[in-house]
Amino acid sequence: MKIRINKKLLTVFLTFIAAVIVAILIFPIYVIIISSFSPRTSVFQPFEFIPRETTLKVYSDVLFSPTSHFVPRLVNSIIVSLLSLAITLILVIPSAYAFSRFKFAGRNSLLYGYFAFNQFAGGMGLAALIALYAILNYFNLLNSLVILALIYASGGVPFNTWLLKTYFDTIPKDFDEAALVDGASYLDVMFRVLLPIAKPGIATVAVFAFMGSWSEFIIAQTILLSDENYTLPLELYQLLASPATNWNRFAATSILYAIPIVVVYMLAQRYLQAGLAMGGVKR
Amino acid sequence: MKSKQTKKKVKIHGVWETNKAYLFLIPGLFVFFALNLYPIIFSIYLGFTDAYFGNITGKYQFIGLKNFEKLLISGDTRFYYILGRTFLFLATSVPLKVLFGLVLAVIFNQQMIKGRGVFRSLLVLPWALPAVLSILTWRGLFYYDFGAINGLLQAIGIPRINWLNDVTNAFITYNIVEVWLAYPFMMTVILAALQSVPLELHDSAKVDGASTWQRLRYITLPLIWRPLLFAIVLTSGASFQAFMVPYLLNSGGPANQNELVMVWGYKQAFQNPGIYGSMGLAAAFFVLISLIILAFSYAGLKLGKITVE
Repeated sequence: MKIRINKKLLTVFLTFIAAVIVAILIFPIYVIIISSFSPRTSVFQPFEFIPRETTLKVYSDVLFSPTSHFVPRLVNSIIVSLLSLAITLILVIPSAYAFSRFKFAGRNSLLYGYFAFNQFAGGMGLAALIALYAILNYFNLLNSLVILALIYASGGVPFNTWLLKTYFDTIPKDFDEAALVDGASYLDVMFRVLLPIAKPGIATVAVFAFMGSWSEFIIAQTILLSDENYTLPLELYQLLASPATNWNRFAATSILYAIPIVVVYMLAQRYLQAGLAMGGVKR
Repeated sequence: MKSKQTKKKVKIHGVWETNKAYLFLIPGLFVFFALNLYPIIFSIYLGFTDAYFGNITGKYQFIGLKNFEKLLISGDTRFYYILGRTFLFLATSVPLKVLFGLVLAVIFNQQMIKGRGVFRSLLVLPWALPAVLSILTWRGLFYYDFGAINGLLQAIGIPRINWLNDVTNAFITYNIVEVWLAYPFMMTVILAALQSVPLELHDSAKVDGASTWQRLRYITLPLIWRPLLFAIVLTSGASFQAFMVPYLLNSGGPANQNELVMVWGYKQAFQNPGIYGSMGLAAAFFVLISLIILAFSYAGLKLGKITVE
């Protein structure tokens, strides 16, 4: 009897501790949500942890006020992210198909090179950015959203090729063989046989490409020279240049900026999990 | 004729052998080479030049090892200070990340906690959010005048803390934010490892009278050591290359005292438009830094035991 009561108490106690820990850890997210609905006009009024009133005024300011840059920056972000997604698929699908289905000279060293690049890329990323700046400057290609999307897509080629190649590997080669024997070309096999079956893998790659571009900050900051080409991460950074006046706007912009990520994640979660599980890629 | 062609296409060990493969590879390879590989090689070359904003369009000169000499020997740059600061960050943030991930994983692995599923999905939220958003939000929380953290401190009677404009405090905030960004990964890896530990082992140890600590020390830790080590190596590489956290929080400040390697290199290259040779110097700096990162990557590769199929 005594043990049972203790166990119940322990459950309540542990659950309480767990709730407190979770509350502390998601505190920043809570603050940003609260701030975005706050009617405070000045951040120097004391912060209300449990707001007495809420308002949508900050959101309407961010979306419709003539002093807000949100909508043009959003358009830029959407252009860059969708373009990067499309380019990624164009580059990665044929590569993954070739690695999964063909034997050719240099296959293993290429695959290994892609893998090693993945491990090493972070470190050389900023170094490469110096050279990239020089190259783009030379060809007069700085300050271009299309080039930015191309850079994003290119950076993801090694990881995404691996991901999709591993996914293609799980599709039995009998399917291809049957189509080839029937006289289909390799392109037919790729488009008509593999792509329909590999939808979860392709969705995973698409989501990674979109999210990666949507979130990227430093290449955009370096390559994009004029404000009108800025993407949303740069807008967030700029808003905090004068935090005292912009804090609530920053909060509302953050929420709006995070919505597509959350929506895409929720929509694609099933695909993502299937894709990652089948691809067997840990990240 | 038709049958001959089919024969040619028929697989060798389940894979078709053909040079057409290169046609499928070329688009990806070309773009990858032009925008990733070539810039890396080119940036190594830039390390031996006097490039800066003023001559980057192609009029820079080859100056041999001067940049490396400047960084390593002549001491008019802060190479060793920056490197020391970065290793200090490594030494503080990595144990914190591991410990925090471990504690969270052990707590949220307790069967007795109700609603673990909900808790866990809330806990991995920092993983889903873009880092730029999270870090800038933290910066807002840490503001001296109106940040929510100082507001909270004042509410319980503690004086405000100057988080971002004090060298030591700013370094502490880097650690806090880095841990916050990394704990979902650490916790998830450790949780997965913990769940692979057979319950029977714990049960029989309990029967033998082993305490909770003894079971953690002699059963759990040895069994999760390998994945843990892999995560430690990965997260060490991340700490060493920390850029977004110091850059977005206060740009490596105050007074550049908290610049970590990536921040110093970036600012040197892109935020010194007037300084002669700054891009070349930054490129040389990154060559040296990359050697250290290569060591991390190699260790990760060895531990991950990942092979090409």
